[in-house]
Amino acid sequence: MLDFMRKRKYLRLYCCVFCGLILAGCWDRVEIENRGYVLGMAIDHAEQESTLQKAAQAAGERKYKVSYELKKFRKKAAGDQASGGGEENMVYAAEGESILATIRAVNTQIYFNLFLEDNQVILISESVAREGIKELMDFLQRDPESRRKAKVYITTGRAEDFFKVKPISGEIASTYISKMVRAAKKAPTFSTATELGYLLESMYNSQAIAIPMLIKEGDNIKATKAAVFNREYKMVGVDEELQVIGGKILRRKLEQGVTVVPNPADPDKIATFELYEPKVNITPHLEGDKLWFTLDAKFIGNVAENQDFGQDAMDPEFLAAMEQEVAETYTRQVYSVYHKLQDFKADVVELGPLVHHKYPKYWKKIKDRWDEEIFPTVPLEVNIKVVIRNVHMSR
Amino acid sequence: MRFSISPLQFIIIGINSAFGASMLTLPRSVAEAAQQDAWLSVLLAGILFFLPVIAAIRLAMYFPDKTILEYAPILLGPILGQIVNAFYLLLLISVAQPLLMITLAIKLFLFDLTPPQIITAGLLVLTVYATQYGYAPVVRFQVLTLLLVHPLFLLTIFLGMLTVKPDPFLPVLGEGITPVLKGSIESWSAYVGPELLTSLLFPFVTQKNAGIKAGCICVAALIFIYTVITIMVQGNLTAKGAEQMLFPTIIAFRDVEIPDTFIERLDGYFMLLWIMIYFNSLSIVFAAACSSISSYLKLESHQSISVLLAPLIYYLVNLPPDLEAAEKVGGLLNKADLIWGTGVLPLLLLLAWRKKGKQC
Repeated sequence: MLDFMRKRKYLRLYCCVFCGLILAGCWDRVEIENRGYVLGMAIDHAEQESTLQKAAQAAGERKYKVSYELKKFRKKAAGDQASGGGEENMVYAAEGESILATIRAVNTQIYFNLFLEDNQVILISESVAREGIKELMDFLQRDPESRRKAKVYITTGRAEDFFKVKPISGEIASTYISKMVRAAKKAPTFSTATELGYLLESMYNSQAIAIPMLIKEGDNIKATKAAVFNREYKMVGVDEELQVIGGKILRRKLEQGVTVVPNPADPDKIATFELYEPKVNITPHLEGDKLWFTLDAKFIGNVAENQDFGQDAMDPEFLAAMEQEVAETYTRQVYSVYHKLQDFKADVVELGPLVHHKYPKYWKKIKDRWDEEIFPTVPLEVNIKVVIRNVHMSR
Repeated sequence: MRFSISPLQFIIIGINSAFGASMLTLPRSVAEAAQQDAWLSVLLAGILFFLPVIAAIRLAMYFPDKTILEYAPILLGPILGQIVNAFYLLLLISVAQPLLMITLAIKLFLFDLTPPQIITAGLLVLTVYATQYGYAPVVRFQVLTLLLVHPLFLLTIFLGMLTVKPDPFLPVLGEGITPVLKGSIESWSAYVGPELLTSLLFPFVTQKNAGIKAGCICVAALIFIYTVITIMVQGNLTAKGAEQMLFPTIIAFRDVEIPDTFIERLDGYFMLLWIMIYFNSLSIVFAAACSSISSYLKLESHQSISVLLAPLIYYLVNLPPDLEAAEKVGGLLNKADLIWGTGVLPLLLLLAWRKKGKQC
């Protein structure tokens, strides 16, 4: 009896050890080398003649060429630390109408699975954007791996070409582009970065949107313009660099930046205003059915540069004239972009929600006609005041 | 030694019983009804929820040594009493109904290769194991997780508040009060739990006079947590965005990244902590259901019931053919919970008051 008890005890112990061995792994384990970390996606129209992997599809056309940029991981050789050098990328592409089908088509070329949770950027070519991006977004909002913080850009020319760029910093293009948004605060001409999550929210709320545009010049990438999308999410136009500043003022997103104006003391030379404290307030007004907006802004900053050497930058008359000049420049930029957006029938600066917040009953009546009928006719009064607080280190 | 519950444990059990399943889907169902005033609906439902909890505690105070299964027949007569008890047991078991959605969420966001049946069965097997020895180990586990898991969970939720924007909450009451009221009905199921368990566990509470205070603290904590979660989801996704998402709370956490820190992304932390919290909720309700069914059937031990109940729950949660059907079942159960909280409990309290006067 005692022997049997002892045996049972050992049997239990064996069971525990055996279970520990078979249960210690994870059902969902994926080894790191079997995972293809996609860092960037580029969506273009499919090329006329292509030798690319095509996604087999029962329906739809071979409409898009979707390229996926991955970082190439390799073992570090002994002398690698000293040699430095850039990172290497791998780009896989496939054609199809469904994004998922293109991923699966790429899966037939490689042994690892494309993994989107670390995706940094989604680049969409201008030609695709002009046709509309609504359909493309469905997969990105539905797929549980899709990263909502990925930045979305519209590219001039083919989006896939941006993956060929070798940034001077040595990074691969996708990570470099995603880091560029850090400059958006300081550079007022950099349109406010658009993340996938924000783009999807705009779509759910039927809100027109502006997405930063990327321009490629050799191995340099710039983000200065903004692509304007209407409520159908078709690109209808472009805000030029200086209009982007006006757009940021209207969206209450301008935080810093420099404005160069003719020097009030000598118009042949320049003076530079550096903004550091913006206060923008846009108020909708409604009388009967007449709606208008007033924009009251106060921009506080410095004289960052006065190229009329010897001119006293603290002279009150000079400062007043410069404040006036900068205010007029901002006002022009605001009107320029406002009228352009009215022409595009796209309220990308989110003035509609202000009407909704203040006049919810009126908004209910007009919300379906806002971008197309009402917004293009609504007047805007701009009152911008510029205050120069100091002149940096010299008079 | 007789099993007993301190008022603090009573609060913890109350919070845990409601805190789990609805967290993932609540912002969606409320946003559908109340749009930008979703958070107000959740708040209002919570305030209204004081009523059933206080009613359940007052009622239990009239019968300090009895559970609802014993005093319902006293108040309503044997036949009607047994019908009410059967209804009560149904509601108790139905707390496990969101298990299907939970399995789906775990599969989608954590274990994409694991068959969903394994996830559901795994959770149930673990629950059966945890409840084999009655309430005592379950309650101890609840207290332990409250100390270890809940603070981290709250921290995660507050970190989610970092990216909340004010615009999705405007205009406040722009559509009037009606959508807020509709939304509060949708929010009701999120709070269900404390009023059900009170009717069963109150005889074990050591300081019965502190019952109402404990119940109020429990509801206040739930109001706070659910309102904060709704604000976090609404402020990140907007009401329209929340409406579109199957699991808006997880998606909202995916919207929050804290770059260049150890934390980076919050959704993983949220899911891991939430599974433990959900297990708390499931285990206490399961233990209560087993104990009440065994006393309803006049059985001495509840262990056989727990082994039988788990496959039944597994079968029932997998019965709806698709998610829409499961949501419809959820909607019906929400209505049943409303009837229990705002109809049956106050009625029983009135009868008890008439029968026993102001003894308590």
